[in-house]
Amino acid sequence: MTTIEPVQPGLDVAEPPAPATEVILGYPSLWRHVVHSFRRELLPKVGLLIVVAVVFLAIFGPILAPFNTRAATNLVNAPPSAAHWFGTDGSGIDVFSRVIAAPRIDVTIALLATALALVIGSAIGLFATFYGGRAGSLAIRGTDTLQAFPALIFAIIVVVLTGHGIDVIILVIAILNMPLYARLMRSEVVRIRERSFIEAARASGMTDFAIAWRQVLPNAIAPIAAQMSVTIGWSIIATAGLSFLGAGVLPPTPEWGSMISAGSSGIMLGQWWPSVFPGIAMALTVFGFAIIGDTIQSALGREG
Amino acid sequence: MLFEVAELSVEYTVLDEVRRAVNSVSLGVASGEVVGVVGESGSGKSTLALATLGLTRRNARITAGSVRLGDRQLVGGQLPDSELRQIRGRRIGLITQNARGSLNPTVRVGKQIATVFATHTGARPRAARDAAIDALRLVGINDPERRFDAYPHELSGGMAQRAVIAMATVCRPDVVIADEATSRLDVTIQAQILDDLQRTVQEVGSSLLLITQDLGVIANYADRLYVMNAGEVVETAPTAELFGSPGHPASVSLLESQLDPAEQEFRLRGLPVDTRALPAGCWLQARCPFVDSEADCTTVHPPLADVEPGHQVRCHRASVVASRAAELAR
Amino acid sequence: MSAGQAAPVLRVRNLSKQFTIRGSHKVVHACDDVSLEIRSGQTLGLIGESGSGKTTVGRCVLRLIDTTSGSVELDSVDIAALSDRELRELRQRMQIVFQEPAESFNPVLSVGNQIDLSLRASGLNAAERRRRVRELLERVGVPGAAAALRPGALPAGVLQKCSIARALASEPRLLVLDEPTSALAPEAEADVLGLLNQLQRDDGLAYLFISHDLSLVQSFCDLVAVMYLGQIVELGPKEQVYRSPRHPYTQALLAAVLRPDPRQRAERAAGGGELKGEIPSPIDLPTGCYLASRCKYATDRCRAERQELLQLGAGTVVRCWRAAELPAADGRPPSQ
Repeated sequence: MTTIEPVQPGLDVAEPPAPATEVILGYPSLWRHVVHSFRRELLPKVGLLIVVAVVFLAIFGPILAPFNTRAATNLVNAPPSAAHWFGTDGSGIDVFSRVIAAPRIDVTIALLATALALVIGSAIGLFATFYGGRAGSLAIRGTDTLQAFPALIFAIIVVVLTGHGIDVIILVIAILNMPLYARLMRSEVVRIRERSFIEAARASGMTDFAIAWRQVLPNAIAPIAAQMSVTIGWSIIATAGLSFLGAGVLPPTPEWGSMISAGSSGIMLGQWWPSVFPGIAMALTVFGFAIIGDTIQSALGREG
Repeated sequence: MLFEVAELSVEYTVLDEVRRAVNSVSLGVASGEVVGVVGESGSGKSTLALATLGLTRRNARITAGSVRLGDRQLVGGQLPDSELRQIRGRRIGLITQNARGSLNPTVRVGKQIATVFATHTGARPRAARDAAIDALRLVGINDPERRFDAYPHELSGGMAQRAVIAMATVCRPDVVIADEATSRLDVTIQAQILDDLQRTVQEVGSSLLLITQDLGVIANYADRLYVMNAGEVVETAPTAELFGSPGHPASVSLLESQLDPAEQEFRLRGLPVDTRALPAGCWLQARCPFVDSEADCTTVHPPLADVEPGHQVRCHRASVVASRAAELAR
Repeated sequence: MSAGQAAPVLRVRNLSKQFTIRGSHKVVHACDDVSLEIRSGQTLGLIGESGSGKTTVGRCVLRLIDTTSGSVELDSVDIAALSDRELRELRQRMQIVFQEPAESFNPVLSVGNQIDLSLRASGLNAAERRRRVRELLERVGVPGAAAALRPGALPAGVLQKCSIARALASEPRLLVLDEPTSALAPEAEADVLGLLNQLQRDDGLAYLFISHDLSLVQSFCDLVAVMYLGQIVELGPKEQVYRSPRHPYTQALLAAVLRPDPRQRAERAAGGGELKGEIPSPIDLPTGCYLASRCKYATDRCRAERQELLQLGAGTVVRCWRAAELPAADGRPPSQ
């Protein structure tokens, strides 16, 4: 029986392939472009490094912190030194410890909120668009309306009214981002549902649900994947912003936004380290996620 | 030769893998001639067509060779881009398969043709309009004054293709390259359009390079043809001669594809050659029913050799192929 | 081939399909009064140019779109009368192979996965399905290892064979082949056609072969139906239709085919036989014969009266009242 061997680059060209072998021309799948971009260029690797580091800290940060992150001490507002790499803040707590403990809050919120927004938004987008009909249009209109809300103000109001729970923050951020995913999914579904293979699937007797789930969805994922990173970055900024305004996570829980806020008054007095270090950490994190999103997006936009 | 391609090679790179799409291809078109280029898909014909205009896809590049039109070196010389752009459209016209793809859907058809004319000749709007209307009439569009104002979507497939032909010929180019220009059209329209194209080209005094997979088109319109496979020319001959006595296994295979599957003996086996890794010796050795290691098929890459005046074949076993093929000629 | 006395696998009676253009009252008559029968082991070729309605007929047969009037019976079951669930079951017995293999497969799933999805309704478990996928691929001459590949990694000819494998998964009685080889290079085309022939011999499948390629239909089909602007204008055994076409449209169509034969060049230069003008719009159809505006034999009666299908000898019907008295065409078959 004939066998297939995809031809590898670097095959010894002096050897003629045996007649019984069929050689198949391999054209790379979309995701290979993504992996290739990551391998090829420096910037994506930097982004990946940052993201991995941050996720690592989210898990192990509080354990690795050299000092207690909540206990006030007498060594107040000490500048960076050998003992305290990032100095201490207005309550005498080691800034470095708080900076590396904060991802547990920031990143958790960001990941969960993004996951929620993605799943719910995509589900709505997928089924509302694919099945269509009255219910479908209504659902889409609903998400459009949601998008019209001024984001941060809405968030502040909800959080302040219902108490500063982390679950509330997650929910609010998720709701704010959900319409975007619904839209992304919608435009993909519209593009895909006209294609021949959907007709073929229908002709072979698949139910509408099976078609939406197994045929349409895998094709629509690409832009969503690219958007994910951006949403994660945005969520971190949003959380920090809420905390900065006093409408998010409350001290003494370590969180970059509240740290920046708490330290901001000290800047005038020359005490830059309680605000600047968490600021840099946050900026780097968002940057890392943004690069990843950007890499995925441009890799998927490129056709071989 | 008016239009001459010499040893042109084009490579393109996907994810660090290099494919040799066109390999040292040489062909020529004399003034007033209709020349065909035929080959299976993936044989490199379309890449060749674009490359002769100095156009290549984003990840492709011309690695060797030259293209000459009259006294100008289009590729391989030091021609600045601005001059090359002037030659495209003015001295060489290109017609591709997707007519509507060549037309801007938001601009009236006549205006598009007039613009091409004006850009290249510096003519004033009135003169350009007249030239466009003449071109439309020449390609067989009735009532060209009215059609001048039509948008592309208002034209049927055949009309749109005719409009594209008009656009390609309005400047009276030296050469018109038609790349699968009629393959998606209906049978009755196809013949009409090819007739119109041939007539237009004769009127205007251009030569025509017909690139297609359709042997019926070649048989009816080409004076001479080149057969391509794996990016290289494997046979070239006057049309009647090639149909009557093909010398290369790839040509025989193409001709045989027209027959009842049960009667095919000499088809090339397997899949098109992978141009990422070409073997030593003849590139078709894995597919060829005539392959014979005694005859150097596996060790020496065959050159194009004359079998008759004007008829060249790239095969070590050309004479054997020719005699076996004669048996199957009807 | 073996046409038994049993009921035909597919029987289409007076099928008509109209589309209303959104936002206006204009109606497009995609198909008009189409009737045909295909028996087990038979192939009926449906030929016509763009706008002839042949693709619409294919879609109506599979009930991918609903008919405006007329009936479609598969093994004597009227498909219009079925519930969704019954229709899904019946769909097992008729399958379609599309023109563009790359389009008819989901680009992000492996080919094997997609054939597997077609098998889900069969009640086999996962392991049995996997084995069946390999069997199907083997049957169509595709190495089993291809199952793991995405459509983009396979050449068009191989992919089209996979398309056929997928169609065979449900053990159908009828295959609608919509230009199955138009997008393939000549060698891949010959390959796929050989396979289809073999399958028909082995399984007694009925084929509805939709194509614009006249030479191809001549070599591949048993019966031929010629369509023009939604109507069948001639239907009969292929030898009849190709050797002595009776309808002026069929005659012109056959004369227009470019053969891979350099001698044709001189013949065509000698002229004659072309249809003048363009195809009328399917929205504004004339009252009488649709071909009248282009036909050299047209008379007032042709323009005034709607033409019906008339029996014209051995199993051939023609939609032209003058067919019996007109000269038969030269009858030079396209592939000779």
